[in-house]
Amino acid sequence: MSLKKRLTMNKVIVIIIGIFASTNAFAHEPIYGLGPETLPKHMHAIELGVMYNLGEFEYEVGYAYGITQNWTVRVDASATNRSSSFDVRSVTLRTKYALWRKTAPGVLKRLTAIAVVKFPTRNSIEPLANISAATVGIANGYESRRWYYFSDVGYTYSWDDPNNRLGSKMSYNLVGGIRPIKSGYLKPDLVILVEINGELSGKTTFDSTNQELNGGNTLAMAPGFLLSYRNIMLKGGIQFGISNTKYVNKVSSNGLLSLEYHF
Amino acid sequence: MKIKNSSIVVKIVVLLLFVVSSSNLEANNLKIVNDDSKTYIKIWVDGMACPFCAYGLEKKIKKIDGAGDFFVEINEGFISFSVNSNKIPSEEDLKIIVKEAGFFARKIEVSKNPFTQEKNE
Repeated sequence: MSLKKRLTMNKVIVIIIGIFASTNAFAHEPIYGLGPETLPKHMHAIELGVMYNLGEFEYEVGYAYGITQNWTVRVDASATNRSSSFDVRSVTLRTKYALWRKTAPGVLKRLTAIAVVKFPTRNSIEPLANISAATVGIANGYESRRWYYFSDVGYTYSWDDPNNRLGSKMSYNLVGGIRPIKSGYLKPDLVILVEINGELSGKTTFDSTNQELNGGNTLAMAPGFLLSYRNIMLKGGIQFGISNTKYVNKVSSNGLLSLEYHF
Repeated sequence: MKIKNSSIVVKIVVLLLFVVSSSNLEANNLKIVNDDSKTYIKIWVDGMACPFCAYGLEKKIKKIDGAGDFFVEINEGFISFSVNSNKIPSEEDLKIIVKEAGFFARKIEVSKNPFTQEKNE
């Protein structure tokens, strides 16, 4: 069955959310957007997450490793149990490199380059799992004991075969956060985030022809939280669409929850 | 006569036990007050904005041979810990450890006395 016959716009949105948003945060950084966080040298991190979107759950497991303090690699796999068995939706390899870092007492500023590759999983039940995608992005962040600011921009190119491919996507995110209580080292630490997530979609190509009735821009808002105790962090967020243009649907409301452990 | 002798023996044993336990207590107290085997290090760390991130530094510091008494004051931005006095890491090594955790060591202080009585252990 061809890509053309299987695609719907809702599914397109699901897979893009799957690439960008499925529990991809490292420590203190945006939940839905790209973030600048890199792991300390030789630090390992594992993450288990669940996302609820369009009436179904997606489960994800991720492993990250700090090659140096500036360079982190991460592998993620996500699956759904739509057909009463677990179907692998995506396998992604992500890498981040901190290009610039500036510190002050209680303050960390960073600029990080990000690259993500989504591999095809050859899943017959989940058609979009067979699509490959590559994302490049750049993220900057300001972290302090009280305030957090992040912004990022990313470009995703997707393909199935040379004649059929999803429209390219440009994501852009703006995030603010606050730590309401400046707790001590051995106390639970809560940070509340509010994200604005935007995505500009290009036209999808079927049979080497650009399809006219697609492409456009979506804007979503996502409040979230990061609750940590020592090396364990619980992260959660809810995302809802606030606007759309042209032929793309508004982002469907979704939520995600994940647990991250560093060792 | 036999009873009197055994009473004296008991008294001597009790006295000996008291003397031995007192000397042990004194030795222990002496160890706490004058522990020359430990040297204390305090590092003022720039960029340490959250406890979760500071855990990476804790993990690295605890890998130093003989490191103990680890303490983080995240709101003031310093860590302190003890090491064996005969195995004090160099300032350069400490700066590298902090850098590999993603931070910057702004100032390093070394003392024979603890910087704080608190520990995060």
